[in-house]
Amino acid sequence: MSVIPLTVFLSLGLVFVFVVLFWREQRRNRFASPERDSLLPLVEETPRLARRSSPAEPAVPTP
Amino acid sequence: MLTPGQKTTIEFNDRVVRQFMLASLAWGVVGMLVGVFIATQLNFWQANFGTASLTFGRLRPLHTNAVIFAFVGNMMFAGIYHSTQRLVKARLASDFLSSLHFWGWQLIILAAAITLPLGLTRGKEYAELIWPINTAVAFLWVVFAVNFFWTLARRNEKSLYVAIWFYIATIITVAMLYIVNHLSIPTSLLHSYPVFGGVQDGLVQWWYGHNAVAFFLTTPILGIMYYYLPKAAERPVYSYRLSVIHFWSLVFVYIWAGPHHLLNTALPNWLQLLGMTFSLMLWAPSWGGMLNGLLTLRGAWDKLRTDPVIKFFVAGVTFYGMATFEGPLLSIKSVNALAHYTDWIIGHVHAGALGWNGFMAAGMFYWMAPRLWNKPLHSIGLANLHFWVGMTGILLYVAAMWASGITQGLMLNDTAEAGTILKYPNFLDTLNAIRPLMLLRVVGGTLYVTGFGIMGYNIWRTVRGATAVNGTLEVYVEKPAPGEVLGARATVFNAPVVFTVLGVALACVWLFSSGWVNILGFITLVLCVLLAIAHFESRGKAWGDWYDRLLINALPFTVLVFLAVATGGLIQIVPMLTIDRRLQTEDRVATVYTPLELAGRDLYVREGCYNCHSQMIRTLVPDVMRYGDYSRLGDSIWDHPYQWGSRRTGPDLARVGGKYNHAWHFDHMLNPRQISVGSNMPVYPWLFSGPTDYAALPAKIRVQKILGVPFPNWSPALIDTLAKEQAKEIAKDLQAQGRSIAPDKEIVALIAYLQSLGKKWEPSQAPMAGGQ
Repeated sequence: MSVIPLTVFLSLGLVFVFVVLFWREQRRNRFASPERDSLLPLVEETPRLARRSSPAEPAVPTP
Repeated sequence: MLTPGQKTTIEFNDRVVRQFMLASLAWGVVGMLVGVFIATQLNFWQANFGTASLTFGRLRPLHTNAVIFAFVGNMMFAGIYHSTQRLVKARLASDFLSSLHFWGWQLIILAAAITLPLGLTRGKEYAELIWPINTAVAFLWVVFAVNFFWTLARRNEKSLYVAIWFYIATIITVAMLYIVNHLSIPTSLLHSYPVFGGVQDGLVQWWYGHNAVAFFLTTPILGIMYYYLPKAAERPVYSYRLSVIHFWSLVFVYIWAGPHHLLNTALPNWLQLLGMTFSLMLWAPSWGGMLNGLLTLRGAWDKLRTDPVIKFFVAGVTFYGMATFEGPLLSIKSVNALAHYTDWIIGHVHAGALGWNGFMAAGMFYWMAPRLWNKPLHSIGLANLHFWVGMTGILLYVAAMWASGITQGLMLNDTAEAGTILKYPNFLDTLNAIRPLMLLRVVGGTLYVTGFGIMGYNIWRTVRGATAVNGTLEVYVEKPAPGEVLGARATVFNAPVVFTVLGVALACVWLFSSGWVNILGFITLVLCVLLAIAHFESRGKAWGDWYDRLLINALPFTVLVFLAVATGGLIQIVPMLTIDRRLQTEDRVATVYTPLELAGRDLYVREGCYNCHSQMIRTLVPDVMRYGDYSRLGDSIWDHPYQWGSRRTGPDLARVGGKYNHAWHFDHMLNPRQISVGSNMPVYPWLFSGPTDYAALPAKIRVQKILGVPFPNWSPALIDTLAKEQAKEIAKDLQAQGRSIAPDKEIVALIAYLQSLGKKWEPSQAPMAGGQ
């Protein structure tokens, strides 16, 4: 058996599986998943001076 | 107007977080200092200074209220407001409500700090605040709830993180408990009587009191643990799925455990058994939570050596585990027979308060301060010093209280002559045996508050000269997706809810029935559990999908949480409140107080005598040998508020009436050590100069009649006459015993009340429905 058609076949199969799973995940991404939710506290934020003259004042470097 | 998909930058309201954090620090030090002060009074009675507002009975409620509502309350609000904004990716809904919440809460604390030392109290533990203040508390709690849920409604992150679940449970459960336990009818601007009396009041009180620990001191801090521990460890929580089980089992089971505060008392046995059983069940969810917290540090344990935040969190969570191991242990009836009314309980509660609440607060503050002021912590070394000084303080405190409680409990229960007499009939022998341990508690408490002072200094140096910053976050405004909304039908009719409701119903059939129905209840319960497991194994995905949908629907989630926490109260409390209390008297029912005795009782409540004296002789042989016939439900049936107490620093007073003559009480209140050598009771000279408030009696008796107390139809003039005549009689007796006092002085009314204890009852006409 030629190896190239087999590789292409399996690769396309993997791509198909990936696309299906990705599409499925995209469809349910409005819902939660424990793995995703557990990462919520780790979101990084940027500090901004509380008493600033203009709202456009830039963020300050973190310590 | 932002459209879905649009990117926007939100700036969090961190100003209110800073305010609550600093307030918590300040009130924490105040509350703990009051604690050290009153602990000192237990060793050195002179530290009461013969001043009404500084006596133990008035300051102990100030200490407990300050650390619960001022220290932990402010800390909790700081943590909830800070983490919620970040978890739901939205600024707090209303700056006005946030400010109103903060300043209103501080005003309430200030009002409590003024009124409690003045003796203005409702006489119920952790629920002492008079009705105008507790009405303000309820109002501000609603403000907090509106601000919180409004923020959830405006969120840019659909899914609710586990910390938010705990916050939701806190808000709705505390509201339910606080409102029910504070239902009162005012007799004046500063005084009211709780609507419940006797055993009903006791049951509602500990349904509230126990769950104040559960839903004010535990669930919000667990939410804080689930947010800040992963933050500090820089890795997600160990098991998010375990947190689902932790949350639902904890909020459902906790609410049932209240009656374990009333074990071996006159409380009906079925309630005692429910309280004990559910307390034991609490072991599992509590330890699930503790392990979930500790295992979050997998691969990051090295931070324990370098990061004080992690150090405090790990110690705090460990103390949570230890305290929640000890709590169920103390709820076993036989262990409770030894530990209840002793310092062991004080040690237990301080393991939780100092170890869990205090150290979690410290960890959170050390994490927050550098971020809220954008400046590194002033000194890591000082934070480490705080940790070790505080830890030494806790260990000394808790060990001293364990030893003290077990020592006194054993001595009080010890008998001689083959169990026919008490080995230590003099209560003071047992008190003086624990004096060194009580002193050790003062040392431990001083060390702990010193540690807190070090933190205050460290944070002050961090904040000084720094400019406050607010966090900002870029978010995408999400559009609602089809299928997201969970309607009423989908909320209720799904496998997890149906199996849970069915399981609880069948468990109730099993618990509350007898004979073949009992066996049937057990068999069907087992079948229900097996069916639920089989269904979960085969349709687990449907369970997961439903829960995922629930997590993006705040209202259905809140409704289910409310049902989970309300069930326990519904089954335990409602039957006791709806049954005619005359049917719960056992073989005797109290007769109503005379007007003067009622005035004396209100003085007893004002001075906080219940902080050291119980009025509940338990159904235990040593209790009966020491204090007399065991207390019946009918003894306290008309008591608004009930005064069963929770700690015996002094002896039980349920049957003290007639035990001594009037002169004994007169001398004892003037100088306890003149009669009881070695006593640590304060002196009460102001009772000998203050006039009895006869004018308030008609309003008080009118309210008691509304509450169902069978006072005769006395006119105000007759009430006044009856009170004054009885006062004259007592003053005359005192005169005959060589003590001179004007009849209108408060001591006369107090003597009238003390002499009535255990003396005012008649055989009950009711069937023994509430008997054991």
